[in-house]
Amino acid sequence: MNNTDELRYVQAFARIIGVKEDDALEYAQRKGIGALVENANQLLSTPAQREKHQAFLDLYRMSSGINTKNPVINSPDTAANFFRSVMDQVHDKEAFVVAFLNTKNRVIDHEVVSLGTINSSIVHPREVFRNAIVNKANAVILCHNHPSGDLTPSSEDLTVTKRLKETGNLLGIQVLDHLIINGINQQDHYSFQAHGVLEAPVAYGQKDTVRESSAQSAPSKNIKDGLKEITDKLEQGIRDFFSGDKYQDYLRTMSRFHHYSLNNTILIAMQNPDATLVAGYNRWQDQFQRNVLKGEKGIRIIAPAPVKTKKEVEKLDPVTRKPLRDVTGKTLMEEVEINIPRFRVVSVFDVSQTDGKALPQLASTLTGDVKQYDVFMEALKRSSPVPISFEAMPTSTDGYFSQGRQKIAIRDDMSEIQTVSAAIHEIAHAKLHNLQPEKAQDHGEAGKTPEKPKDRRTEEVEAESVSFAVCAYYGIATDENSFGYIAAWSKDKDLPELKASLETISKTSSELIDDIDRHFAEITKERGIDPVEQDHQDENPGSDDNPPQPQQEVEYISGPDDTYAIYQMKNDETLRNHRFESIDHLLKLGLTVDQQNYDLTYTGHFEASADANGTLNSIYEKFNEDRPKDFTGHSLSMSDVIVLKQNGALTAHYVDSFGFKEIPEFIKPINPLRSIEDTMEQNDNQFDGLINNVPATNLDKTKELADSKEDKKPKKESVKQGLKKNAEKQEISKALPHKITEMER
Amino acid sequence: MNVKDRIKALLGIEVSTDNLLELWENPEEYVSTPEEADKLGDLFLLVEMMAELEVDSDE
Repeated sequence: MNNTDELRYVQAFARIIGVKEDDALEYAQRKGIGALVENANQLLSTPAQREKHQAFLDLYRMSSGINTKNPVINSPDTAANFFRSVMDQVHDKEAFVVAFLNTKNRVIDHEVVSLGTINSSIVHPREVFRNAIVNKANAVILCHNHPSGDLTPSSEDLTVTKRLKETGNLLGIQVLDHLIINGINQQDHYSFQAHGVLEAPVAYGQKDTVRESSAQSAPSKNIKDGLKEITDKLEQGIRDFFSGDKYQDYLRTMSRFHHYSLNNTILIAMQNPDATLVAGYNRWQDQFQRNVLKGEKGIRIIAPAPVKTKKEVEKLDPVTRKPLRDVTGKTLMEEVEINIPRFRVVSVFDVSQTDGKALPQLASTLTGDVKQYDVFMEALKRSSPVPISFEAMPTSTDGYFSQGRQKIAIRDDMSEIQTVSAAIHEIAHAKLHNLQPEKAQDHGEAGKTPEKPKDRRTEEVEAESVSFAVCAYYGIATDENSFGYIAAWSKDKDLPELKASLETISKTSSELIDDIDRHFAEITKERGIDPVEQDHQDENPGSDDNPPQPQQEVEYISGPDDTYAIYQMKNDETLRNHRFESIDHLLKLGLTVDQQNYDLTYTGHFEASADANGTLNSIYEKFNEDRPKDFTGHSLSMSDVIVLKQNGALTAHYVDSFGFKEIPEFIKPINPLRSIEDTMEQNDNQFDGLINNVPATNLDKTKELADSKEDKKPKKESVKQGLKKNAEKQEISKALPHKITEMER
Repeated sequence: MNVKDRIKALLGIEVSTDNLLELWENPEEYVSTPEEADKLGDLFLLVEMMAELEVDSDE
């Protein structure tokens, strides 16, 4: 459509629906012309307008089948009707027609490919697909007629169909069906798809109840090609990591981006193993006032590009959660918006590829002396699934995990650096390779195949890799030569097996880092140790817009999905007049719901309902009728805010006079650096389901790594330095702790 | 709601059929005045344009 057509469309729309033409024009300019149909709620201000719009949508849907020019083809019958309408002039001779369809199975155009006898020399694939490509068709339906009246396909028909189907597969244009229609009795037709001759699993798969927003249509072929190219690279990259000397690079990158999906970690490690902090071009500019340097090549990763669609579902009673029915007993339906995950390739740049304003200086938690080493070891002990003890051992053994006694023992005369790395190695064994008999039995009883023990070398590779990555994350240098046998180990493994191991290593390292950080913070709090150096704190004092985050909030945000947080207004005299008031009351006073005026009073897990409203109602009931014992706030009431964490995203909901009102402004970025992580990791969550946000301490350390090259200022001795110094003192150079650690059977 | 009800809600006119295809092809046969037929024509034009828009956006 051109602009004139679009103007006519808007004018006709405004006239029929009864909205002001200027308003409709402005709305279409702002949101796209498709929004007049798909998302016009904000434009429709009166019930009458909404009723008319709904009637219009209904009529449009009903008309899909009778729009003879561009009908939606959803069955062999509708396809046959369409072809009859375009072939009614040629029933006396054989004609071959192809219809080009878009992703919604709507006919974009059609073409008469040949008139006369149908054979493979005339119906050449290039003739069929040339205009399919020009029309950017997603699929085609073929049709020819048999003037004789006999609908039985000839062997030539079968050959042509097979050839075109194969060509379509190569081009990514599906042949949905091939119809033969009758030249004499026009009511009959033969469908290759219906007869199983042409296998097209998603043929006519157009779902009437699911409509994609026109503004967010399916990925184009270029996007598909880009994804294919990058996933091919990924597979090759996995092999390269194991066969070359890049394995340590991968693990180091993985530790820095431990909340990223395996795929994106590999992609970053392949393209820039030294990357420490990545973000998109615009984000560097907008949020950090840094510019990507001229000539820098982006790191290509895969990001989700979810498509919003509308789906008709049964309307549920908010209390009983049972389907609602009208007076005639018919189930009431409602349209809900759902996200369909789709992906695209995006470019990000490492901080080293940018220049501009200095990044905010963040504090480091892992600083200090031996005292903090003690804290770190205690954090390791708390993160371990089994007790850790120290005992005398021969120098050929650094430690072991005993499955029978369910304990870890570490040699008691090693340097701190050796002790830490050996402990992490054994914790990895205890987490990954602890197949207790009762557990295996349970799995069997639950109808699942009991876990099979992995071979010893795989276990050692996994434990050693986890130890290497976790140590690398904390800046603790471990021996690189201990991976010398990686190539030999990986040689006999299939790609899925290698990928599974990488996923295991990545997931375990990520969990362990999170656990250690959490426990480290706990212990420093318990012992009254300030984990943050004062001088660093001064450099990052926080601001009104970005206050320091309470630990509970950090844990909630960085915790798993399907959790909620209850915020209640602070007990502050200045807020007294706004407590227990509706959102309308606040809006009338020109106020917004600001998180700074709220205390986080509770966090918990919820069982997701069919929609957010159901979930919110359940939480509301819980905090009024059956409040958790440890909840110290008041019963949930107006002006409270419930924050839901689902699919890696946070949504805030104001408890209003009637129901809940979503308040996006309540969710604020924690700090600029966190925002960058949020964006990237939220993307990655779509792949791995891992926690989105890194606890502040993690970010700090990640950032510390990023800044280490530039920051020449003298700093207090870090744990890494402390550990190194201690190791040197004992004249143990770069020990190979993992090669000689054992897992006792 | 059927076709009749929807058209009544949308355009405020009474049509004498629920067959949308019939109505589409011969609107004047199912309404009382030429003005009402014009209104129906407008509506069907809008629906056609919407379908074209959908095809375009997919490209």
